Amino acid sequence: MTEHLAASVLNDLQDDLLPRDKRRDAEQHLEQCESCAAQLANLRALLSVARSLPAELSAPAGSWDEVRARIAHQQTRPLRRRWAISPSLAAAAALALVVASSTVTMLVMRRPEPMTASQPVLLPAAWQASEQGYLTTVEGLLQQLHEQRSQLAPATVATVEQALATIDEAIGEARAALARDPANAALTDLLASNYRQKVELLRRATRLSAS
Amino acid sequence: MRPLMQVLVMLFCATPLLAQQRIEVRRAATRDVYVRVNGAYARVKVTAWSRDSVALVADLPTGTRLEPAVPGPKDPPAKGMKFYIEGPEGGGAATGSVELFVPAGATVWTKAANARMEVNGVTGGLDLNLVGGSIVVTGNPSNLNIESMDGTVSVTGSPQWMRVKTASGDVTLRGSSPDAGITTVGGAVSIADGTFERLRIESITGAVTFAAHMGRAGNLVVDSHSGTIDLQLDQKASLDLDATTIAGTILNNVNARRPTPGREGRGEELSLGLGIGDARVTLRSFKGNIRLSRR
Repeated sequence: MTEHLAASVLNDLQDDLLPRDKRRDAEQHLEQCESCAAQLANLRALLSVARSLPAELSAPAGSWDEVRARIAHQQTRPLRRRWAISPSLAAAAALALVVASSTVTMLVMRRPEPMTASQPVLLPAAWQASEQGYLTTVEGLLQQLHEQRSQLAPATVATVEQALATIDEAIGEARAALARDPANAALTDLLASNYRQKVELLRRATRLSAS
Repeated sequence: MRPLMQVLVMLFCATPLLAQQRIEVRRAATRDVYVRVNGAYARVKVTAWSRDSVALVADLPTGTRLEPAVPGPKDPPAKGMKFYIEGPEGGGAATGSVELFVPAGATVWTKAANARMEVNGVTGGLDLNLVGGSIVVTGNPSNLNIESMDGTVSVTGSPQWMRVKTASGDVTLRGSSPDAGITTVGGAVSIADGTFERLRIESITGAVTFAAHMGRAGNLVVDSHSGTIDLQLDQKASLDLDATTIAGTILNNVNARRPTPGREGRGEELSLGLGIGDARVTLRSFKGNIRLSRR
């Protein structure tokens, strides 16, 4: 038995986009491989359900009033802790994630010097949850990129490394400034923008290496 | 010129052509056909035409394989086609060129390592992906998505929806868009001529120049870490503007209002209103300078 059909092949088969010889090979494989045949059946079932969905959906009457009421309720009620951990523990966890992410970046991209984003600064609690979200995403993408690294041209790797270093430097500076001025909304927006850039760049790099 | 010399010159000129192969594929297609071109080529030119068919003409080095995933010549018009170009083994950088003709309403997806991509007149969707080289789009696609690392991007036209992302590639846009987003790490962003409703620009070190018009109730947001933000407003600009720097300066040549020191005495802040303030402009920079002027 040859190896299983890639998802892209199954999709192309379903969309009738495979060249004839590859289509014949894929169909022969499907006759012998229950796993791939089941995946194709699932794909067809999914597309069938998707096709049966209405082209447009309108929100139920009165739903906007409900949303507005909930927002108003959240704005008036006192803030409460959503996590059963202390702020200092949350800060430590965020810091550990930042250090871990930057270390992984360094290892994955083989950076010679540590990144400034890992500088130990204490950020406002409100930002920590957002940062953890970004860091988790970044870590996953770095792992993916590490696995696909050999498929990228050396020049592309160099470009990605340089861009990541630039972004990490910006993140480091913005984090340090936010630690000094935690209530600065513009700083929070700028830091979030830097993280979005990092996530976007890594996504692009993984898409390039996946092709 | 002597006849022998003429023959020698002709042979010399013909040598590179002998190392090339021309491949042509022509198929009937729906007006909104989806076409993918992926692989090893140095140039792709996509041109919209008024026919209900797709034609691909490729000049590729010998040893390069073109794998078309297209229906047979007598099949009904295709809804989708794929072309994959595989370079010769150990052939180095791609050198082939591809010319693609599609119905104007087609959606075209291209991907290459280092290439020049040129698209003219497509009103459907465009999804163009590149590492290095350049992308030049002319026309009014309904959707335009461009991802590039080093490659420069130039768009002349009015995409309904546009997203451009580069690492170090410069981005130049001449035209309009109701919904546009540009993200770059170090590329310079230059926008001129048209009218924008919703526009967001994010850069780390790249300079941003905006010399276009904000539509009524438009919204422009520019975030940069260290790139200069240069906003050149037209005489009739009507907007509310907030500019903030954490460590940079703000230079206002639009009116007499002067920036104030930022929070804790660092950086600068400026709020101003022009006209009846239809549009909203937010400029934020960490340590880059912000310049406001009239065109």
